[in-house]
Formats: sequence, C-alpha cells, structure tokens
Amino acid sequence: MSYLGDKLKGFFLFDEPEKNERFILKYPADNDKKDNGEKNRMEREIEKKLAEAGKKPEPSDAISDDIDVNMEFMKRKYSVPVNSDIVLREFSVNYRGDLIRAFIMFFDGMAAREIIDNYMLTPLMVNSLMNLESDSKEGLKDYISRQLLPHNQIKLESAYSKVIDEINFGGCALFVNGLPIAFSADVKGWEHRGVEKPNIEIVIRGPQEAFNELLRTCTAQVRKRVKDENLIVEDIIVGKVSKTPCCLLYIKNVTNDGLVDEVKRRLDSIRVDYMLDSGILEQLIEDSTIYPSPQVISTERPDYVSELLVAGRVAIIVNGSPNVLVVPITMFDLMRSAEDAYIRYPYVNMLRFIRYTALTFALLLPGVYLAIITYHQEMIPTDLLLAIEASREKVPFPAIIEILLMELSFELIREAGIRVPGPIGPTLGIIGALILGQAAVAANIVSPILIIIVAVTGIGSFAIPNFSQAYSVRILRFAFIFFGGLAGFLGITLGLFILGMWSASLKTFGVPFMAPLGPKTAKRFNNVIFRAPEWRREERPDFLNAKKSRLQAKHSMGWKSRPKGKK
Amino acid sequence: MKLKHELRRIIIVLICSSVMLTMTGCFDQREIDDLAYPLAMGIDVGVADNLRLTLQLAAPLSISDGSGGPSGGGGRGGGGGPTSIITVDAPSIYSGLNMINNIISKEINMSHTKIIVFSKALAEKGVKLYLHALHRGREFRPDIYVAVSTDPPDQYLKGIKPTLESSPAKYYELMLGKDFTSFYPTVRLNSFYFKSESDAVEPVAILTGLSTYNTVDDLKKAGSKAGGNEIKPEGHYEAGNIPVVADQKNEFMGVAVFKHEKMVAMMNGLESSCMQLVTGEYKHAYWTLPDVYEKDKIVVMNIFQRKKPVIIAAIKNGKPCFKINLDLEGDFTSIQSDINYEKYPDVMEKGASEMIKEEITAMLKRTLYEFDSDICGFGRYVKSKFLTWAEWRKFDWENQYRKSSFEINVKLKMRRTGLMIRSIEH
Amino acid sequence: MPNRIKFGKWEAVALLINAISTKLYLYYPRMTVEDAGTAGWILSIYVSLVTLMIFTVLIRLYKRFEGMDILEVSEICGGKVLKTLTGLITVGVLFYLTVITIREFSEDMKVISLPTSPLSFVMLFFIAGMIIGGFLGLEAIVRYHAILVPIISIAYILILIGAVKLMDISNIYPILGTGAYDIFGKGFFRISVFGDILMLFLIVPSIGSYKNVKRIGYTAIGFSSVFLTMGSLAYILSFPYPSNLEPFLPMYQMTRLITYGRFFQRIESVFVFIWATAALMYLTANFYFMVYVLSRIFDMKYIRPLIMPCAIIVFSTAFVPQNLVSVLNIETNIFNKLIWVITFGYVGLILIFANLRERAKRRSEKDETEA
Repeated sequence: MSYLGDKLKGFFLFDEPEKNERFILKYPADNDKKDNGEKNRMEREIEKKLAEAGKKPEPSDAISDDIDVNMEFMKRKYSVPVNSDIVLREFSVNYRGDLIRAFIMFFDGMAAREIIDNYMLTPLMVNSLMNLESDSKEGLKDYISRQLLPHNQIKLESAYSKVIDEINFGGCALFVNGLPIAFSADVKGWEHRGVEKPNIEIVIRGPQEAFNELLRTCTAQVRKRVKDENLIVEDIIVGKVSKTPCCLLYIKNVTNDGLVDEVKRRLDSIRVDYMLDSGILEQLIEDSTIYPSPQVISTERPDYVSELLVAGRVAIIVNGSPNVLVVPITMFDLMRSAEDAYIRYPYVNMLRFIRYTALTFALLLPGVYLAIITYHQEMIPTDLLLAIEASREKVPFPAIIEILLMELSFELIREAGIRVPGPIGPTLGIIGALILGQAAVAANIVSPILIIIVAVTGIGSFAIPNFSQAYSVRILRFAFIFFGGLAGFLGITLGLFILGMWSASLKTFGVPFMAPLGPKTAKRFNNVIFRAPEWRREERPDFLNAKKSRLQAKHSMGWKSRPKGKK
Repeated sequence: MKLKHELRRIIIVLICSSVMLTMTGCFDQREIDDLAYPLAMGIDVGVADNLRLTLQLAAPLSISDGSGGPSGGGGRGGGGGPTSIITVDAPSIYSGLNMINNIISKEINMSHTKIIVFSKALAEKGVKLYLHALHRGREFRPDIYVAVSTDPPDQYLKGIKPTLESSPAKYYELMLGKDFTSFYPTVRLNSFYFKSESDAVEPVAILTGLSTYNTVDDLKKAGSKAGGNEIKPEGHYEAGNIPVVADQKNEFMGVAVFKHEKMVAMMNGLESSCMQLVTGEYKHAYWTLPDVYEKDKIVVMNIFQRKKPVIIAAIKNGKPCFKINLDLEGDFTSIQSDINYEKYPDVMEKGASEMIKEEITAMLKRTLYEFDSDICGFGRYVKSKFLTWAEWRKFDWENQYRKSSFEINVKLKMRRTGLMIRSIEH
Repeated sequence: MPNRIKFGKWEAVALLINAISTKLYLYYPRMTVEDAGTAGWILSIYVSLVTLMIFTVLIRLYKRFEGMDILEVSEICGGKVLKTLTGLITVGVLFYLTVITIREFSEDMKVISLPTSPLSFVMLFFIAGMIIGGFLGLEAIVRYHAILVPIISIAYILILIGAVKLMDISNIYPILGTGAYDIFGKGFFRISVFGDILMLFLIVPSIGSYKNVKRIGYTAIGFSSVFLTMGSLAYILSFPYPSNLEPFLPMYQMTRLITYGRFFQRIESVFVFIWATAALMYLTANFYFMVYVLSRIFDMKYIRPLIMPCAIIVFSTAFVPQNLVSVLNIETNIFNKLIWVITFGYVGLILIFANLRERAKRRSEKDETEA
C-alpha cells in the first residue's frame, strides 16, 4: 500500500529523479563499438568464464589433503548425524597396491543410487583391484578421474563451497586421502514429472509437449527444435541461499548483444535470498510493477519458445518451474497464441479478429452498458429501451450497484471454482452461474439483460490467449465501470486515454510496449494484429534490432516461383 | 526545506480530499427507469393559454406483460392501451413539459419522440413560434416526423391504438418510414425547419386525421367526389375521408401545404404522389388508369421512378420556365379487359403518361395559382443561375414563382407483366 | 535537457494533423459559412493554398538552422532577450489556445450529453488527461497520436460518407456565396486556422534532418486541408444557407442525421468517443509544449514541477469568459484573425533576421580567413 502511496506522492510533490539511465535497445552495429574495439560480447563472456574457472580458492575454503580434516569439516557443515538424509560412505581405493581411504557424500533421495553404486563405488572399490595398465607417471588424481570413474560428468573442485553446492543440488562428492581436491559427480536422480501435455496452453494443432521442472530437460526440449550450434545456453545462479540455477537462451548470431547484456545485468543484480519460481523472477525483472498487463511472456510450450527465440528474443528458464520467461514483448504479443503459426491463413485471421473482439467486450462492455443506460438513453432504439425499462422497473438497485454486484459474484464463482476439487469444479462454475443468475432475475434483484452482459464479459475474458493478460483485463474492467458511471462516454474516453498513454510510455527491455504501431517502425507489419501468410513473413520484427533481419528468402516457396529466363 | 514525513502525509490528504469534494456524485446520471418517454407530441391552439400540449407517454409495464418473469419481458400489449395521454394548456412547449412534470412522477425525456402533430387550426395560424424551440432543444431529434392533423391532437393521439404492434413506437417507425404508397410524403423535422427558413422551397407536412367512418354502413356517406369519373382513383382522398373501416382510427394520406410557416391548403393523396414525382422522393406506388379501349375497365400499374427527374430551369424575359423530364418504369399488375397489352405496351404507356402528365400539371397549377407556394422546390434550380447571394436575394423568388411556366415530359416504359405473359381475349 | 527525444515522421505528422483538425469538431465549418456563405469550401481551399505558399517561404528560410527549434534560432538572432521574448509569445499563444479549447470542449460536452453537471466537473476530465499526459512525457503523447489519428480520420470519413444521403447539390449555389471580396479578401485572415503549425517549429530538434521537417510540414498541411475542406463542403451540402449559421456544433448536427433503416440510427454518442479523444490529445500536446517552452525560457532542468501549477492556472483562466457566446466570439472574431500574425509573421521576421545575421557572420568569417 505504501508503494502506491509513494507513487501518488510523486504526483503532488516533486522529487528529483534518480540518475539512472533507462535502457535503450540500440542497433546491432552500435553495440560492437566498445572501447577496446575488437572484442565482441561472446569473446568477453568466454574470457570471463575461463577466468572464473581458473580462480584459486580462498585459504579458508581450500580442501586439505588430509581426509580426516575433510571429513570433520563436512560432518560439521552438514550437521551429521542430526541431518538424517545425508549419507557418508567410507571405503578404500586400491592404488598400486596401497589401500587409500576415501569417502563419498550425497543426499539420500536426491542422488541416483544405481549410478553411485555401479559407476562410482563399483569401479573405485572393485575395479581398482585390477591393476590397470597405466603410465607410472600418472598421479592418483588422474588415475581416478581418467581411468576409474566411468561417469559422464566429473568435476574436480578445490574449494569446499563448490563441493557443498554440488551436494546440495543432488551431486555426489568423493574425497580421497592425500588429494587436496574433491571429485564431484552429477548424479541427480530425484523423482520428477515426465514430459507431459500442456495444462494451460492447449492447442488443437501442434505438438503436445510441455516443459517440466528439470532444467536440463527444458533446455534439451528447446535445443532439439532449434538444432543450431549458435543457440547459447548461459548459466546464471540467482538467489544467495537458494542458488537457483537459471538458464539464459539466445541465438548468438541473431539476437542483439545489448539485449542479452541487459537481461544478464538484470539477472545478476538481483539480491534476494530465495528465488524459487519463474513467477518470482518475472516480478523481479519486469519494468513496471503497477502496470496491469504482463511485460514478459510466460509459457510452458517449447515450440512457442523456439519460435520466439528464432525471432530474436531471449528466453529465461528457471529450474523447478515449468514456465519459461521470454523477453522482450510488445502489447500485441499478448494476443497471440502458440497455435497461430500452425493454422492456415484464413483461420488464424478470423481467430485474431474474434480475440480482439473478445478483448473489447471483456474490457468495455459493462462500462459502455452502464454509460448508455444512465447517460445516453437516446442512443438505444426505442423498442429495446422500453424492454429494458420494463425489466428494470422491478429492480430496487440503481444500475451501477447492480452491475458491481453481478460482476463481483461472477468473480467469486470463478475464484471458488478453481479450488473445488475434482470433477465438481467446472460444473460448479456453470451451475453456479446459471442458477445464481436465474434466481437473481426471478427474485427481481437484477435485470435479465445484465446477466447476458456479465456472461459475455466473462466469456470474452476467457478467449484471451495469455493468462496474465486476462487477469489484467479483469481488473481494468472495474476501472471502466467506474469511469462509465462517472461521466458516461466522456469518462470511458478518459479511461481509454489514460490506458493508452500509459501503454505508450512503457518500455520493456528497451522495446516500446506499443511497437510497431506506437513508434511506427520501418518494415512491413507481418504479425501485429493480423498475420500474414507464412511465405510472406520474410523479416524479423524491427523493434528487436536483430543482427540478421531476414528470415526467409524473397521467394521462399521454390516450387511456385521460377526465376526469369529459366525453364 | 525538507518537510517531515507526517507533514507531507497531511498535505497529501488535504489536497486529495479537497479535489474529491468537487466531484460529489455523478450529476447527470439518470436511471433508465426514472425517465418517462413520450412517443408522440401534439400541439394545438390552447383555450386556457397559448397552446395545448398533448403527450402520448409510453407505459412500459403494459408493453411487456408486467409480470417481469424469468422469461423476460416482451409480451403483447394488445389493444389494451399501452400508452397514456396527457394534455395541458401552457404558454410554450417547455413550460408545458414543466407543468406535466408536476403530475407525472418520472422526468420527461423527449429523445424518443417519433412524431409531432400540429392541429389544423394552429398550422393555419403559424407554427414559427414553436419551430425554433424544437430545433434548439437537444432532446428533439432531427428525424421526428411532422404531421398536421384535421382533428384536434388530443383526440387524435387517443385514437392511436396499434393493432399489429406491441408498442406505438414501432408503429410510428413502420408507418411513416414507408416507401410503397407515396400518398403521403416523409417529412422530418430538420427538412421541415430548413424549408421553412429557406426562400427557395416551401415546407409540407404529412396530413393525418381520424377516420369519419365507424361502421361499414357509414361508407355510403362517401359520395363520389371525383366529379365526372365513375372510377375513383385510390389516391383521391385526404386523411379522414378514406372509405376504410378499421379498429385503428387514424389514417395518413395527403399533404398539408405551407407557405413559410402557415398552412395554406391541403392536397390529396394523388397530388402528393405527383409532388413526390417532381421532387424525386417518389418510390413506387400502384396507379389505377382507365383502360384505353374499354373505358369502363381499368388497368393497374406499379410505377417506379428509377431516375431522378431532370429539371432544367431558364429565365426568359424575367419569367422563370422549367422543363421537367420524368423517367418512369412500370409493371402491369392487373389488366381487367383482357386486352393483350403485354404485346403492345406502347398503347398503355402513352395513355398512362398522358394521364400522369395531366395530374402533375393540375397539381402544379394549384401550387401556382391557388396557394402560390413553391413546395416542389423549383427555386433551387433557379438559384444556380446566380453568382452571389446578394443577387439571389434581389431576384426575390417568392414573388417570381407565380410567373413560372412548366413543360412536362413523362416517359413511361413498361418493363414486366407479373406472372402472366399474355392475356387471351375471350 | 528533457527533450532530445527522437521520433519518426509519422508521429510528427499525426501530431500536427490532430492539432490543426481538432477545430473541425468545434466551429470550423460554421466559421467558413459565416465568412463566405455557400462558398465556404472555396474559402477553405484558398486558405490552404495560401498557407502552403507561406510555409514554403518559411521552411526555405529555415534551411540554415537544421536541428534547431525556434527558440534557438531567436537566440542566434537576438541573444537571450529575444529568446525570452519568443518563448513568452509562444507560451502565450499555446496558453490561449489551450484555455479556449478546453472551455469550448467542456461547453460542448455539457450541451451534448451532460447538461446538468457543473462546468468544473466536465473540465476536470480534460484537465486530468492533460496532467497525466504531462507526467508521462512527450514520447507517450506522440506515440498515442501515431496510433489514434488514423482511427479518428477513418471514423470522420465514415461520418461524412454516412451523411451523403441527405446532401443536396443545390445547397452549394449560388457558387460564389457572399461575394468574391468576402472569400479572398476577408478570408485571408483565416489562415490562422493553420496557426498550430507553430508546433512544428518546436519539434524540429526531435526530428533531425531538414528534409524530414519539410516533408512533415507539407504532409501535415496537405492532409489537414483535405479534412477541413471536406468537412466544410459536407456541411454546406447538408444544411442550406442561411440556416446553417445557426447550429452550434456543425459536426454533431451532421452525425445526428445519419439513419440507415430502423436500427442504425442515433449513433452520435459514438461520435463523442472520437471527438473527446481528439480533444484530449490536442490539449495534452498543447499543454506539454507550453510547459516545455516555459522551462526552456528559464533554463530549468525538470519540467515536472511546473505541470500542476500550470494546470491549475489553465483551469481557473478557462472560467473567465462569462458564457458560451462570448467564448465563441473571442475565438472566431478576435483571435482567430490575429494568430497568423504570430505564427507566420513573427516567425517569419525572426527567420529573416537570423538568416541575415548568419550571412553577415559567414561573410565576416570569410573576410577574416581571406585577409
């Protein structure tokens, strides 16, 4: 509440604004002109990652070569034996006739037991008895990591903190006496959901796969569709304590470098303890908290994410959340569904028309009805007017109370219907609405025409493809009812004006929210309100300032067009 | 000087509340059932005061079967009187509305009035006093129909009990927006007002009245008025005189001719058709013509005006003369004499065009000599001959109209003959 | 500097078209008929042609000062003093336009749909829009224009097409109306209608190249003159002279007459949408430029603190005329004949002197280098 108060204060009392520069998405050519000229973004990133990997650990954090010291440290850290699901297994490794002590540590339930048994313990305990031919110059470290452990992901760590991070996330750490390093194996194997059908974004035509909660499965889903080696998956850890791994996906030679930098900057500068879901991340990186519509797309379909990546956007996957965020977007992206690419040109345009009509109804219908009934009675044809008047004669409430009552009860039914378990849920919604409406009309509490209005409004809000946008429309509807009741059409015009100006001033990740109609961009409008046929969509959207703007050749259907002069 | 937090908060609250106090409530909000909607308004010469105002209010409860059950409204009003009539004597229109509001509980909202009926007495005295109020008020829509009634409006409006509709509103819209009789013009308030202010054309109004015949036996009172002809063409009546007996008492036929804002004469239905033919507003109607060969039988034709009339104006020796070319089309609908006119249509065409030309000439002569009122708007064609407004005013069309002469050419072409392609003589 | 925002050609054209064409909804068709009778449309075409010629001259004089708005040009011409003077005059013109327009629109709304509300209540809506536009900045204003001006134009053309049914060609005679002197002589002063082109000279730095500025100016004047002439012509054809001197809102009356059959009638309340939107956009743009120029005169860094006080000043000044008729009187008879002096005359003088100064400076520099 005090956030709103601060905003209102900004209206009446003037504070000098903070000197932070708003991000502007520049053309790709401008991005490369940095101070040191030759290095571009990818090279800088590679340097950074290499430097990080080669960093020496701090003295308090360094693993010692004495196994007892290590074991004490780890026992203390993990509060063994109070912490009941951490497992510490001691064993011995045979190396050139000597038995060297070692132990592994992992969380029961998070690590895959068969992998640890078969591919770590068995080779270390059993295979090491076989004297494998090895170069005598090879040390124990190389012997173990190169010969003995047939696991596909082994990392050598020399800092305690890294090992602890690995164990926390389901890895298994191996300490060997005499080596000041630990081996960490990625043996994640907890119970998880498989790849299932999408729950919210259901399409009739198109793939029926959805993201699940595992990070690597999600990235694999995207990679297998965009089989491009230029698709970069960058790792970022967000959250000081929860250390949630997130991934940043973009196509290297398409996406604007400035955009990727900005996204990374925002993600890196989040200083929270726990960041558990992509919903939380969305709220932490979006541009305007108070604006009703969402400013990032959150989707659970990999094919939709691939389509958006190819256009030049950036995707953020959060581990543990089946919703993937894609930035930047414009207002018109919120009215598109994943299915639009797969349907034929006449159908998709009709669907778009219906969606926009649904949006108009859901937003404006109650407000306009109220405005007409109370201020502009001369607008209604006389027969309709007399019918409405007859039906409202018995109703004791004024029109605005009636509308608010019905809208509120509709929202109640909707919210209640989500929580009712099992098959009763949807039925409750329908029956509740029907019976409530009928009973209310029979009891002369509301007029019958209002039931129709509220029903059409509700159905209209369901027809909006993006779930969050439907929420925003539900909120704004009440604002328009208020404006319509205040001054009729003048009030509604003012409401539309405020909404339009606010949307026009908003920028998401450097892209104006109403592009390409707001600032008019140079290229053709392929996919703004109506969608051009597939073979015509030759260029990427201009406001993304992608490096390569051509998506298709000029004559993408080779079988149709023939170059002149050839037979 | 930085203000403390609490002081800031107080200031904000003060500003907000003072802003909100100016917006106490929504001033113009009116619930739809707090308003009463008159459907027709009648204006007559008043006895107790300047004018007598009659309002026909729509009573929605009876229009939609009062029970308001779950199946919603929309029942049948039937002849049971879904309206209520109020008459008041008042000095002017708005004061009359004011006075009526002392009786009726709901506020009167004139935006759904469909027709304004002037009485004949008031029209002859002049309607200018009231036209301006009607034009200025924002609630009076410009497409209200204007009619003159031969009976006093309070009785006239009482007689409107539509048998086929549930509400009189629909009755008015259907009745007066017709395009297939042409026996009365379609006159709306804005065209009436502009014509009364213009010096190039004079206004007309729809003529209406209550039927004088109550039972079928009364019809024999309708003696032959046509004088000479045994067959009376159907348009030869004025409102109130049509030999019709119906549950519904009011009828529309004919034209009330105005000069500026005073009514000077009435024209019957046939003359109204002719006027509309000349002005180009005619749509189509049935004409009864005497058969060319067998004088006691008739041929009925459905005549359309496909092209607007071409009127060429010229000023010769200071006298305006007009050449009117009408282009009509017709279908045969009934040939009583079995003569095969389908094969030789030009016979009937010539006869019909002669007859139409006679009627039109008769009507124009009436406007010239009898009431000296340019209702067909010939002044508009003369206006194009002048370059500036001052010259046009100097020409003084009002006094020049009676010097006009007309030359009328009617071209009638028969197109179709209904379902029968030939008549066989027996 | 709060305003080095760049925006494109279409946004600027939309801004100017809306600024000039908003008069259509208020009084413009009736004004042409008052001046020239049934030849109002000829007056309209004449005024557009004269404006185009004057604009050609002005924009040619502007060539040397690419990327500078009129304040900077007047600084070159006469130093800080002239810059302050120009700024104050510009603020005065914009202030007057804002006050008169908001008063007229509020009165119109009262007549059309809110008859019993107090005037301050109706005005509060427009003021709220203006304040919010001021806070959100020029970018938002201009982008909103770019989206909505096409929609409003299409709606306007639809209204004109819908009114075709009741147009009578004989209403246009006599052709020359009240006489050639009225049209061409007295009608010359009506080039004030295009007085809002002053805004173009304020947004020059945001557009960039001189070629673009020229194109924007011509496009805006061209489109607006087409709209204005069509409006005037449609009004003259629909309502006969001299009865069309009487109505208060020409466009509204025309919209009232549109009926197609039994159902499609009475759509003038939809007209309120486009009309109130055009008003809000115009007022917001005017107000923002007024506040911006004010901040430039005194070299202020932020314009936000100025918005609320200026809004309150506009609000209170709008109540100064006592009634509607005096408002219209002030507008059409007194000021509308004088604004052209400022927009074209004063600006022209500044440009001429600045050009002379530049040329003198160049010549003295050349003399120095040669010597």
